[in-house]
Amino acid sequence: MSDQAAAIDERAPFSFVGDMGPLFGLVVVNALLTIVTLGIYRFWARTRVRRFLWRNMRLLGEPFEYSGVGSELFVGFLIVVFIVLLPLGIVNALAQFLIQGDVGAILFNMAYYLVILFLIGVGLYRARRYRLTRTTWRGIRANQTGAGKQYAIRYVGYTILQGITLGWFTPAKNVRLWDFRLANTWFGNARFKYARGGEGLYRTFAICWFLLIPTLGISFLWYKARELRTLTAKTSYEKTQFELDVTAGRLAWLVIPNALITIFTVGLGAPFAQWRTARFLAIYLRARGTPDFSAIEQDLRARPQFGEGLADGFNLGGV
Amino acid sequence: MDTSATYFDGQAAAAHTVTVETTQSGLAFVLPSGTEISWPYNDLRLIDKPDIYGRFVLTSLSQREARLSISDDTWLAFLDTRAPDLRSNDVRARARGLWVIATATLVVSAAVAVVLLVPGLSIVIGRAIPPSWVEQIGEDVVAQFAAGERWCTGTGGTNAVAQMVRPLEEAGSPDFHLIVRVLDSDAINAFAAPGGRIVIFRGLIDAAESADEVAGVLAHEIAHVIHRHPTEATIRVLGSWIFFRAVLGDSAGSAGTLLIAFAHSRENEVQADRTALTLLRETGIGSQGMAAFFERLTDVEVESGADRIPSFLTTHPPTGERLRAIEAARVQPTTVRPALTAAEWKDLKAICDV
Repeated sequence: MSDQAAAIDERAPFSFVGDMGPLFGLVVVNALLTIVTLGIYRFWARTRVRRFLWRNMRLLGEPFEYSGVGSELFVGFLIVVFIVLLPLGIVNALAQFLIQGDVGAILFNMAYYLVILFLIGVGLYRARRYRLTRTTWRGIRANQTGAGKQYAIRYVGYTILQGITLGWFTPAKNVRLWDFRLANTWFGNARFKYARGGEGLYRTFAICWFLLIPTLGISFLWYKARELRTLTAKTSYEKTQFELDVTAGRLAWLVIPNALITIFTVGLGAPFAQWRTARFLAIYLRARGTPDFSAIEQDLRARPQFGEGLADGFNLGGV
Repeated sequence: MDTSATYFDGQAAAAHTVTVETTQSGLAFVLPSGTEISWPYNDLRLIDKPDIYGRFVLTSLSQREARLSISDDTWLAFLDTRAPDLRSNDVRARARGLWVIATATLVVSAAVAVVLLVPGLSIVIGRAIPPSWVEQIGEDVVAQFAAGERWCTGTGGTNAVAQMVRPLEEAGSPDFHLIVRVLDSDAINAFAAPGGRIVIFRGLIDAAESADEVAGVLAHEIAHVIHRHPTEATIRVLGSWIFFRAVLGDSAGSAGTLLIAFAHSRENEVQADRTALTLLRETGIGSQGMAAFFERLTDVEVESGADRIPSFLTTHPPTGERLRAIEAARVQPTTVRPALTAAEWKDLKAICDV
């Protein structure tokens, strides 16, 4: 029997079956090895955690697979150290000596942070490409098209607009970047789609913006939950519609403990936060539709050889 | 022995339910389309360990992108006896050996460059930087150290310092004009910053029993200025900090930087001690004050257990070691004169009194 056009209408097509116990052992060993190796082991540590998270996440009963290896991250990082971070550090140090006067220093700092912001945009996008190309489900790989610099230009521009408008550009920025990412995300030979729009977010945003100070920033969670619901609801893949059943309360219960876990373990406990996020997604991410699985064919696009150097160099985190 | 499994052909995402049989040479199953597939035991690879429900996934070297998902983990025990390379990870992206070796070489050579080249480069760069910049850096360093503390500016004491500095400066003729200041702090300490800036802590003057003892320490700091040690150390630390932070990240990078800073400062201390002895001889002050001061510091170190800190972890060689070196090199001037008159010494002791 082959499920060539199986309908996905289960209430929870995703499930996460990873227990905290095995992850705990993994995190302790990873932390020790990372300390002993002055941090070099972190690439292999991250890979082992991802393999754990991926293989315990299931869609329609089948596990995801993470096929990356630590040395790809290590080499990716080294390349970035020598062609980006070291030159950047040298330029910055020289500027401290060579640039006299406040105006010169301010102009240099602005240019410097613009370059950093651009590299962060590239780093985020390329790290996502690496992770997608190392993700497999039912033997079929995911991928991401689109150039990192195209994403980074938007990222820098939108971030500046966000600052100039005192945050009022935030919904537009998040919608546009989500659109760019999704339209370039592939599973096999089919890509994800984002239905344009999202303007309705502005009503919620306006209320939350004015409540930002009285609520000490908590109103932002309310907006963020609304944004995630909207963005997910407008996302589809091969006649399958997604839905994220997130509320401000659920989001708070996810992100606040996650932040505390990460801060109080100086980052070593971040895998527990990722574990909580995986469980969160398995519970609240739904999908409905009739994808034709026999028409979804293997992805044959090029894949990067190494990964995530920039993202690691700028401490961008992520899974 | 049969089991039901789900097969994915690696070309499309469709699932095929199949019944897998074990044969003499491997696993065999028939697709709904009628295609017969057999995977030899030798080619079988386990993608991941069984999850908590006993579900595990297999692939075959002959069909690397295909997957066979089996929910009966008693099968895994059976396959372990038949498939010798089941748990080999040779289906994963190979750690490209050449790349790893190449980059490891790159890192090692860069580290060698930092350890061996940066000290040399710091001398060259140190001489290339205009003196006015070095003086500015020195002022910044001193200001950082003195943050929250008071400078001692008693008139008599300031004159006494000048009296003590003048002959030593003339004898050593450093590249920078010396600016010696006293900081109102209890620490028994003194240091030289880039650009001829020297700071003596009041605690050191309190601990000294004669002007000659202070002169010994001052001669040592002036010797650092003569050899341009503070400038070079600043450039060296900055250079290695840039490198280590980029490669190792923040915390480990700082540790690496400290190791480099410590490694070279010990050589510098020994060199400064030697030059200080020469200065003390040429100015007629002699080394007995310096020796007496270090002798007392050694007693303090022994009492506090500081002498048990491994010597490579401190910026200064153990004072006992230095004391022996000073005494071995003791060359007395023909006519000994005190560094300060009794009245000047009294003024210096009172430099911080308001």
